[in-house]
Amino acid sequence: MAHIPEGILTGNIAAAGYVLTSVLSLISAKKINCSNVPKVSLVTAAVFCASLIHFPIMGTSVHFSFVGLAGMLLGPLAFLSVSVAVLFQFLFFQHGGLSSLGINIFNMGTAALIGWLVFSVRHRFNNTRKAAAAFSFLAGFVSMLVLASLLSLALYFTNFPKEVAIMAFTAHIPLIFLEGIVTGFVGIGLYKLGKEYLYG
Amino acid sequence: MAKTTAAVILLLFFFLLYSDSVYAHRMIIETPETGVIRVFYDGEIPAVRAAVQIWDSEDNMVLEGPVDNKGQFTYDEKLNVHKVVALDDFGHREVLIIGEVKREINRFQGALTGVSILLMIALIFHRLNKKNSKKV
Repeated sequence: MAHIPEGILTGNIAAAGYVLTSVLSLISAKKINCSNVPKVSLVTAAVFCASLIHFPIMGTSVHFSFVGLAGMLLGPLAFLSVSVAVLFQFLFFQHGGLSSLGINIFNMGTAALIGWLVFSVRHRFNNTRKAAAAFSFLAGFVSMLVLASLLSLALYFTNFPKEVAIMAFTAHIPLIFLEGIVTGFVGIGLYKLGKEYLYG
Repeated sequence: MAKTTAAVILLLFFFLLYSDSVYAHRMIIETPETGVIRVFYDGEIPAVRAAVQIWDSEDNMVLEGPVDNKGQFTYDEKLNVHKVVALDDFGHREVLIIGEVKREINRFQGALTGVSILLMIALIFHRLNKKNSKKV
């Protein structure tokens, strides 16, 4: 579960989620123009559908997010893209709830921005195929790690027992590696296809 | 290139096969018959770590307990059940009010609608950009 369900967050955390999401969405939206809307829309569609690929792990089910990939492709615009994807997941799949929408967008959007930042570190090394592969893996891995950590922290600060927060994080560990591997493969593919597909 | 593409396709194919359905991971409560409550995640995965609370019409909790390994919980049929709450160890929480009809969205239609909207936006702006570049 990357989405916090309806009715479990305390009012202050839900409100903080909406405030942070609004600010970051506005900053991200400043980067949009007519020429990058098609790319943003396509990446949003991929992130929107990612939650349909789910796995039963440890008595619960977890799903892909592809937020690291969104960060690699869109850079700062990834936050806006993920915001729309999470809103659509709420509207069309009933993932999460209205009260938790702000914090869900914040968690996934922040993870996407982290994915972008990790991937941009490759410029400090030779921009080779190996570097692209390694940093694609790291972008997927770290962004999912951040997402699982933010989810667990939100649960912890909502007065859930510490064990619940730890369990929520633990259930995501296999997915953190899987998301890193898949993002790594997609990163190599995109690098070979043309570096212009990747941000920066 | 061909090797990488083939590897990505194979990997995704494996995951899609393994995920066994196109549904996601919401927790759902069902009452297949009186005296039985079933808790599961989308994709019919039993929520084996869930606990169920039964509340009466005066908002008093009358029964509480864990589900079995099929995600089922049985209770006395004579019990005045108004609301069922299911919680698990991962922060999932679902509420079912007996007699209340929940509007369910077909996941496939939902996915199709969402993707169609996004593709339409992409197409409109792609054409707009093409037109603008021709003018310049």
